[in-house]
Amino acid sequence: MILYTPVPQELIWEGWDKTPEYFWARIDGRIVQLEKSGHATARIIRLYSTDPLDYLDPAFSPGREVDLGADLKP
Amino acid sequence: MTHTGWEAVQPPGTGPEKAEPRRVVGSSRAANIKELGQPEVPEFQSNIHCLTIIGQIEGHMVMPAQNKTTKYEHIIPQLVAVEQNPEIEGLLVILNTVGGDVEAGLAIAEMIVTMSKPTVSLVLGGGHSIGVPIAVGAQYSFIAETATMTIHPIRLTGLVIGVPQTWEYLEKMQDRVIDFTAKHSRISAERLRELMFTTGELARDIGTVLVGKDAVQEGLIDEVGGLAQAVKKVQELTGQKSGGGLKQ
Repeated sequence: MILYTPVPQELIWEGWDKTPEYFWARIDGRIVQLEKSGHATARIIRLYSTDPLDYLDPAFSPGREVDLGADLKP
Repeated sequence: MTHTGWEAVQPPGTGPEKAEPRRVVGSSRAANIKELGQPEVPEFQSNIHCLTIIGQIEGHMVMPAQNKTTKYEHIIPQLVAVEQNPEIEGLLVILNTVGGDVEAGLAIAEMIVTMSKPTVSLVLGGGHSIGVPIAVGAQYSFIAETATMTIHPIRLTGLVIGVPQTWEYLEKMQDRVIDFTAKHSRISAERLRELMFTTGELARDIGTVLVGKDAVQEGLIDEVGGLAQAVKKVQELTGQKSGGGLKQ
């Protein structure tokens, strides 16, 4: 993989060795990969779908915070 | 938004998947009443889709959290949806990127180039490195007056084997970017290479920074402009395509 960017690579890869807590969930019938971001919230990492229209739904765009309610296990 | 109906699942491909009925994408009337307190659903729906490419373009490797990234695996199906959706007539690509993965960037650029619907790009802030082929990939490109585009050579980091083949490999990667950019803009491959290896422009580095007007003069971008011009251009191109006048 080659990165073509003027940003120094050491800035980009800073903290690469810390593995984030990812988990998969089904939200409204769609499978998404999430990262725990708070007590009951998670951030969408990626959407996993074969329906291209799902990707136009802003509710499933990467980086979006979702409130999963109080039942999120730490 | 609060999701009450969620459940943890196994990663895709590791267990039996069950198909589930799903709702149709789009705003529901009930949600509108709840969120906006109004029973009337706003009727206007844009016939253009706005795709924003910001931060680093993320490809094969997931970048650490301090990077703001545009994930290509999300952009690619979006472009498929834009191409397929009959309600979307044109695409406006807004770029403010510092570059990123060569393969991912070229993939996005190739997807934009091969779309049948009118595409217009607008470079705001920066369209550096691999952002350049994406910007020129659109049928018509704009750059903001203060926006910049950095043209510089691709570099290798990590374990580099000191053999001539390494250089040839790098040269080949460089050619892919140069050829694509030259093919889809008015700049020649020779001039692009010249700009790429200029010294004295970038501090402690080689390359050239093109600010707004310069990018147009070099033939990389079609016109200096902003939001109004870009949207108008998409409307103009969609109007031409469907044979009618301007569509509002």
